[in-house]
Amino acid sequence: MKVASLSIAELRRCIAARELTPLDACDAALAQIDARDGDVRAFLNVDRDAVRDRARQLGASKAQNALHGVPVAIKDNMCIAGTKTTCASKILGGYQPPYTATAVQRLVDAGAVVIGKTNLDEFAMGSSTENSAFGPTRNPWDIARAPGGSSGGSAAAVAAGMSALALGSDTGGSIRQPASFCGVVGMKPTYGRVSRYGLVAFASSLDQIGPFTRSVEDMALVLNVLCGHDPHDATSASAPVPDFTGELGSGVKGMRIGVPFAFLGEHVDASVRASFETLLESLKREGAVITAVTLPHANHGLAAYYIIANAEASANLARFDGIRYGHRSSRAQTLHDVYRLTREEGFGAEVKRRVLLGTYVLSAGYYDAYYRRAQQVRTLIIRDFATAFATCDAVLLPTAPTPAFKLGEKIDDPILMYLNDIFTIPVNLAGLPAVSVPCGTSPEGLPIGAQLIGRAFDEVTVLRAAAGVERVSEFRGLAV
Amino acid sequence: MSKINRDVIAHLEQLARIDLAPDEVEVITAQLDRIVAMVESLQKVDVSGVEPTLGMSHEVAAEGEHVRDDVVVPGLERATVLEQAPDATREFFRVPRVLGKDDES
Amino acid sequence: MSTRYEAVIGLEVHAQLSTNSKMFCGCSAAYGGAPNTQVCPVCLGLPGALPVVNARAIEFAVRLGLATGCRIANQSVFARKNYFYPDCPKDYQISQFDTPLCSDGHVDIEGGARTVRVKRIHVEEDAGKLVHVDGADHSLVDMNRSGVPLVEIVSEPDIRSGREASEYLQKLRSLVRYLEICDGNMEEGSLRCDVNLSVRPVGNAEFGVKTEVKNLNSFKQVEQAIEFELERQSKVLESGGRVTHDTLLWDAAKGRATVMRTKEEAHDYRYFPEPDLRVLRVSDATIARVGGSLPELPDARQARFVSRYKLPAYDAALLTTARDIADYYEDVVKAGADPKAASNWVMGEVMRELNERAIEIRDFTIGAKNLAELVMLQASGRINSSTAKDVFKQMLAGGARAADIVAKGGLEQVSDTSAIEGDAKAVLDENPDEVARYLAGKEQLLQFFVGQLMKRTRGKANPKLATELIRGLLDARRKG
Ligand SMILES: [Mg+2]
Ligand SMILES: [Zn+2]
Repeated sequence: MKVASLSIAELRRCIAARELTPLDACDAALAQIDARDGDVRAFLNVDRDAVRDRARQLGASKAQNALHGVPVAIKDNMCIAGTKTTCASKILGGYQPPYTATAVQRLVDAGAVVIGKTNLDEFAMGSSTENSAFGPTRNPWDIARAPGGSSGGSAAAVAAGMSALALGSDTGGSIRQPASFCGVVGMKPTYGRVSRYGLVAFASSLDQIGPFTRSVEDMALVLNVLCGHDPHDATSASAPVPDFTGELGSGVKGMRIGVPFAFLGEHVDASVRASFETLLESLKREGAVITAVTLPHANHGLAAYYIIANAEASANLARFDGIRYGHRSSRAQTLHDVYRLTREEGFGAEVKRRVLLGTYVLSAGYYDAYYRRAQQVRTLIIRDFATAFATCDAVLLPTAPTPAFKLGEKIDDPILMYLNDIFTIPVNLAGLPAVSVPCGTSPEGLPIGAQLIGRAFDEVTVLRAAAGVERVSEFRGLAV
Repeated sequence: MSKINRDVIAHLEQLARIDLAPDEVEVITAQLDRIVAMVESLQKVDVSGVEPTLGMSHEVAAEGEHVRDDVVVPGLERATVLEQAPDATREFFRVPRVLGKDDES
Repeated sequence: MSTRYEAVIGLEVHAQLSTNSKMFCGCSAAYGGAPNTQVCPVCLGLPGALPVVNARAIEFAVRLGLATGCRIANQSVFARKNYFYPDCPKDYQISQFDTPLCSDGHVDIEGGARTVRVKRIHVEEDAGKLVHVDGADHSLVDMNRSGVPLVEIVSEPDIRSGREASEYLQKLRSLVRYLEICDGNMEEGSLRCDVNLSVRPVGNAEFGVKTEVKNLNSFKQVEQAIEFELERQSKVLESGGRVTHDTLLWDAAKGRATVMRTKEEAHDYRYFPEPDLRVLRVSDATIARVGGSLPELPDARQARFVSRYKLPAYDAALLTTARDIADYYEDVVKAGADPKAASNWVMGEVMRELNERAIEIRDFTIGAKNLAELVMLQASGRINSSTAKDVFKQMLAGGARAADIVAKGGLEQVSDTSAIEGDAKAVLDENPDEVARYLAGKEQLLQFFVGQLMKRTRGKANPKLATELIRGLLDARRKG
C-alpha cells in the first residue's frame, strides 16, 4: 500500500502502532508532490525543510493527538504566522502575516503537519482556479481540465495523493465543486461552525472553512478537531460540538432524502444526471426514502449571491491599498496614485469585476433595489430550506451541473462560469452544512459528486447520509 | 436596457479606487452590463413583507455572548508590523503627502 | 452682522469612551503611547482579522443614552461606512447606520429653558492619526488610535446660536464626565465636534441649505465657527447667491473656515450591515440595571443643591458641572461647614488653585474634612478671613490640618479688646499726622489705622473689633 494514498484514519492507526512515523507520512506526501505537482500545480509554496523538521519533532513526541503526523495542505487564503500568504494575488506582494488562522492552529495543535499552501482563484473568486496570479492548477484526473475552484489547489492536492487532508474555503461552492471535480470528499460546515479568524475574507456572511478528505470517515475525524467556538470570531457559533463520527455507521435505512427535482431539472449535464439517478436507485435499495421537495426560490440564488457576495467583497478588499502591507505601485507619486495604481496592478480582472459590481450595488440610490432585495430573496431561500426539512432529513443534489471542464473553456464568459455554482450557492445563502461525496464517473472517466445538505448544525445527519452515498457509489480511488 | 456604460464605470473606478487598464475597460464594461442584467432577475421576485436577512448566524445569541470583556491583551511588535509596509519609518507608516485634513470618523 | 437671518444648528459630537481596550480588539486604548505600539491584526486591518465588540463600550454608550433620555434599542446593527483614507486601516469604518443603539433623547440648556433634542447616539471606532510633516512630501500614519471606541452624539437642528452650541457641548462634556465614560478632554481629542449650520430668514420655518464645519477643538472655536458661518451664509443669501452643501474645515489660527469638499465631491459611503458582527442585543434587564446604576446627574444635583443647601442657582450650577467637585463640596458640607461658606471656598480658592495648577480635585492636597475645619474656624470667628487665606496657603504647601496650623502659629483671632488696646493706642501715637488729618475730617484714614493695627497683631485681631476700637479711641481724642 502506498503511504501517500492512505486515509487519515489509516495513517493514524499506522502511526499509533509505530508502523509509520510522521516523517514517513510527510516524506510520502513530499515525494508525491515531486512526482505530480509539476503538472498539477496544486501548491504555491512548500517548505520541505520545515515540513520534515516538524514531522521529526512529532515523531519524537509521545503525544498521540487526533491528527498526529497527518499532512495537511492549506488554501493560501488562510494566515500562518511568518509564512507568505498570497491569496493568489499580486496585491499581497510578499506579505507574511504575524498570526495564524484559528482553523489552521486547531489542526496544528492536533498534530497535523502543514505541508504547503495551495493555489486558488484570486481571493477565492472563481470556480476553476484559473484566476490565480500564479497560473492555473490542473485537474489531476486530466491535466487539460480545471480542478474546479476556488479551492482547486487543495482539492487537487488531496486527489493526487499529495496530502491526506487539505483546508479550503467555501463562499458559493468553492470546496464542494472542486471536491466534485477532483473526486474527493469536501465539506462546508454550518456557517459559524469553524472560525473564520485568519481566513482572508471574500464575503463574510458566506465564507466558511472546511476540509477535503478521501473519505467521509476522515471528514468526521477532522471536523471533530476543526469545529468549535472561537472568541476571535463573533460569528462563530456557540452551539455544542457533537462527535461527528457518531452516526457514520447507521446506514441510510429509513432516512428521508429530499430531492428538489424541479430545481435540478433545468441545469444538469447528461452524465451528471445519469450518475445522480443511479445514486437515487441505490439509496432506495438501501432503504432510504426519496422524497420530492421544492426550493421555489433557489433559482434566484445566483443573482442574490452575486449581489451580496460582491457587496461584501467590495468592502473586504478595500484594505488592500498599498499602505500597511503588500504591493504598492512603483508608479505612485500621490496618495491617490497609491490607491488607484496599486489596485490596478495588484488585482486581476475577475477581482476588479466583482469589486466594481459590489460597489455598484451599494452605491447611492441602488441599495434598496439590489442589496436589500437580495437579502430579502436570501430570507426566502432560507425559508425554502426550512420547509423542505420539515419533510426530509437531508437534501440531495448534484454538486455541480457538469464534470470538470477544460481549462480556458469558460474563463471568458463570467456568467457561464458562475452557473457552475448553481447548486452550491443556495446552501451558502442559507448558511447550511453540505458535503460533496464522489458518486460516479463520467464517460470520460471524470469524477462526479453528489451534494448532501442538512439542517443548520446537523452535520451528523449529513455525514450519515454521505457515508451511505460513499458506500453505494462505484467511485473509488485517487488520481495518483 | 444597458445600465453599465463608460461613465458608470468611471464613477465606480473612483469609488472603489481601482483604475482599469485601458484594455480592460471595454471588456469589463460589457461583462458588468451582462452581470447586472442577470441580477436584475431579482426584480421579478415578490419580496413584499419579507425581512432582509441580517448577518448569517443561526443562533439568536444571548446577550453578552460573542462580545469581549474590556481587557487589554498584548498586541504586535512595531518592528514586525512596519516590516510588512511598502514604505515606513522606524515609527510610522509613510504615504505620499496627504492634502488637507479630511477627518472622517 | 445681519439681523434678518437666524442660524439653524445641529452638532455631531464624537466622544472617546474611556475603556481600557479598544472597541473591537484587546489593544490598549490609552492616549499618548509611542507611535504604532498599541496595534494588533484587528486594528491594523490585517487580512483575515475580525472584530469582536467590547462589552464595556456598549454599557458606556447605554449610560449616556439613558442619561440623555434616549430610547435604547434592544437590537441595534453595526454597519460598514466605506471610504478610503490612510488613517482608516480597513478602508471602512465600523459604525452604526440605520439602527443605532440610542435614539430620541434630549439635553436641556439655559437652566431648562431650552431643550436640544438628541436624534441618535451610536457606537463606532476611531481612525488612526495622520502626522503631517511641514514641508515634507510625505505624511506619517500612527494606528494607536485606530479602533478606540467612540460614541457619536447627533443633535437635531435645535440650536440657534454659538452660545447655545457651546452650552450644549459643555453640558455633554459634563454628562460624559459624570457618567465616567469619557474624560472630555477636547485638546487631546477625546471630545470632538462638527457643526451643521444653515441660515434662514427670521420667522421662516423652512430650513436652508446647510454646510458642515469640521475640526473644532474647543468651545471657543465652536462659537467662532458658528459666527463665521452665520455671517458668511447670510451674506451669500443677501447678495442673492445660494449656499451649497459643502464640507468646510475650520482654521483656528486664521479664524475662518475653508471648503474641504464640495457637494459634488461628497462621499458615497455605501453603508451596509457589518457581516462580521451579530445584531447587538441589549435586554430590558440590562437597560434597567444600567439605569439603576447611574449617578445623580448634573441637572438633578443642581436642583438639589439649591433646595437643600439654599445655594444661589449660580453656585449650584458651577459646583455641579463636574461630578468630583460636587462630591468634594458635599463632603465639605457633610464635615460640618456652612453650605454657603463652603460654596464660596470651593468656587473661589479651591477652583482657582485647580485651574492655576491644572490639576484634578482628586490630586488636590487639601481634603474635604480639612477644608471644612478651616471654613468652620473662620465661621466661628476664631480666625479672620485674611488669616484663613494664609492658613489655606500653608495647608496647600504642607498638607497639615487647619486647626494645627492655627494653634502652632498662634493665629487665633484676638477678640478681646483689652488684649489689643495697647497696640491700638501705640498705632495712633506713632501716626500723629494721620490722626490730625482724621480728626480734621479725612475719615477714610480709619482703614489705614486698622491696617496698621492688623500688622502689629500679625493679623490676629478680629477686624470688626479692631475697627470699633480704633474708632472709639479716635472719638475719645476728638472729644479730648
Ligand atoms: Mg462618526
Ligand atoms: Zn488592536
